[in-house]
Amino acid sequence: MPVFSQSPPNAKKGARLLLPLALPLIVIIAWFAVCTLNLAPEYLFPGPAQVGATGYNYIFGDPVQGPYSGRFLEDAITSLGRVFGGFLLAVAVGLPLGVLSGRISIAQELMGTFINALRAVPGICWLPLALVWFGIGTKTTIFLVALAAFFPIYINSAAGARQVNPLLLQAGAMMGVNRLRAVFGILLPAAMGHIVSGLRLGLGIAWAYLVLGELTGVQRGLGAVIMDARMLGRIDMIVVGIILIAIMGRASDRFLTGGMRSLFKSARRAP
Amino acid sequence: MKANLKLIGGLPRAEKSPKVLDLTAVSKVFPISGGFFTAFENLTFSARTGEFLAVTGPSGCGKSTLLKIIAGFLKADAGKVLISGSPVKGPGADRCMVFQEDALFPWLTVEENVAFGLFRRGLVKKKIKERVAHFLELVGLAPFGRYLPGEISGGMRQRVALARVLVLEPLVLLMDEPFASLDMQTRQEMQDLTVSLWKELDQTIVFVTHDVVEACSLADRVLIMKGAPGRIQDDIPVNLPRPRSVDSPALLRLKAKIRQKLATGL
Ligand SMILES: Nc1ncnc2c1ncn2[C@@H]1O[C@H](COP(=O)(O)OP(=O)(O)OP(=O)(O)O)[C@@H](O)[C@H]1O
Ligand SMILES: [Mg+2]
Repeated sequence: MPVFSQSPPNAKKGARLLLPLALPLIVIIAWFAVCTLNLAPEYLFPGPAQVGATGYNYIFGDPVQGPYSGRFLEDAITSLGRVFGGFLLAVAVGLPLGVLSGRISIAQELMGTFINALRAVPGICWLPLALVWFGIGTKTTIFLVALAAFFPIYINSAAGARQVNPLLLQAGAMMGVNRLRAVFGILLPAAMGHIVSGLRLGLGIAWAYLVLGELTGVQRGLGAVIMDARMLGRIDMIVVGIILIAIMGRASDRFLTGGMRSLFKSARRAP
Repeated sequence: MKANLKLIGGLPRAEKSPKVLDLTAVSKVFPISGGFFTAFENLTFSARTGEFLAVTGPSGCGKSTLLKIIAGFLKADAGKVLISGSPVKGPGADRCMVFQEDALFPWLTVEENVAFGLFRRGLVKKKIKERVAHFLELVGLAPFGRYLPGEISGGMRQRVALARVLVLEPLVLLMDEPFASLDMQTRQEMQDLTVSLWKELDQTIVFVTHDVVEACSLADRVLIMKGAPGRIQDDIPVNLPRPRSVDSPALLRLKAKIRQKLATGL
């Protein structure tokens, strides 16, 4: 029987798991230092303690206590809905179009120029148009998110589909697979590395455009809270919003890669 | 029975069986920048069921192209390619290829790679499992079913490549310098394995190789091709008993003869 090599000792593994926390810790310490040394005025640069308290209140507070108390759950759900709504829309359009133009030169010629011209337009340019079309609110946000996430998904799917080793498709053909299985059983798995990269980039940019869409004055959502806090001069709340968006963005990236890994062998067993 | 067949009149066993592969005046022209390039023209040869055919010749004479045409990945520009009497229209599981390069699916385990071509055939899961296990056993990879291609050696990957086509029981097995990238020792093992499987499964094999000794020690017949544009220069029967020793005088004589032909083109 083959011999399996041992996994690295547990202690080492534990230390490695803590490594990603090192930088945030350093930032927090520096933050403390700046505040205790009084290098910046409190109203421009709130300390960790105050931000912590605000954050706690925002997440766990009783809604009657103040303007931001206990709003987190609702804001988070609203924002997540917009991010994933826009993102899924981008996947539904970007992935098939990308794979098509990666494999079929006519599709590439047909779409390539147009899509790349659109891509050259900064996403923020669409904001006025979106506001006119969809008004202030969820639809505009989803539109912006979907549009922004579309490009990395499309481009990476196309690149992934293009670089699939033709030998793999020939091998499939000789083993008698039909068109459908060639696409789902060979082409997509072989392009999976690029596809996952595209999805991750798309999801990352989806968060950026979520905030852009929510800055326009919607009622709920993490971006709306940040905008609202700016008008009320609540810097501490802005910082809380930024930190929460960072955490949720990272978590959703983890969720995405984890989800892809558990759904697809080809994502799990990347060479 | 098989042994008897093999010894009739001292002829290779395939001499009396029907033609499974039949090429007549096959030509292939590639469009290239600024014109056309004739890879080969007017190739005619056939192989009988159970025959082991080796094809050798200088680099660029069209050996790979020939296999790809038989496999159906490329279309011939002229001539006829018949498999068991019917023309080749495209790729199909009756002609399977072991590629020179690694062409396993890296995201599937060894087992799943071997099972890949079987799912279409309406076999139940259990049957598939049994067949896969049987063929992994044949190529000596039974303990490695759950490994990924990236976790095993090059020689083992070529065995998987062999198993995944053998399991489909193709009429014709096409092998394009399958062992060229292996070390001597592994190569020798793979050659022995190929011959023993060929005897056991009664396959027809077209085996492309640069190595004249490999051709002589494996095949019933050696086709010698000549370059640019490719054509068949000679068709040499190898009437040596098996198992063959690579340093038997008869084999060495044959090797010298083929080397001579390759060098002088006579
Ligand atoms: N797709 C193609 N387009 C243009 N020319 C090609 C193409 N494929 C092969 N050729 C040409 O056809 C000739 C035969 O190629 P082939 O790969 O069949 O040679 P080969 O005998 O297998 O060589 P080697 O022993 O080096 O593998 C070569 O000169 C090659 O340049
Ligand atoms: Mg070749």
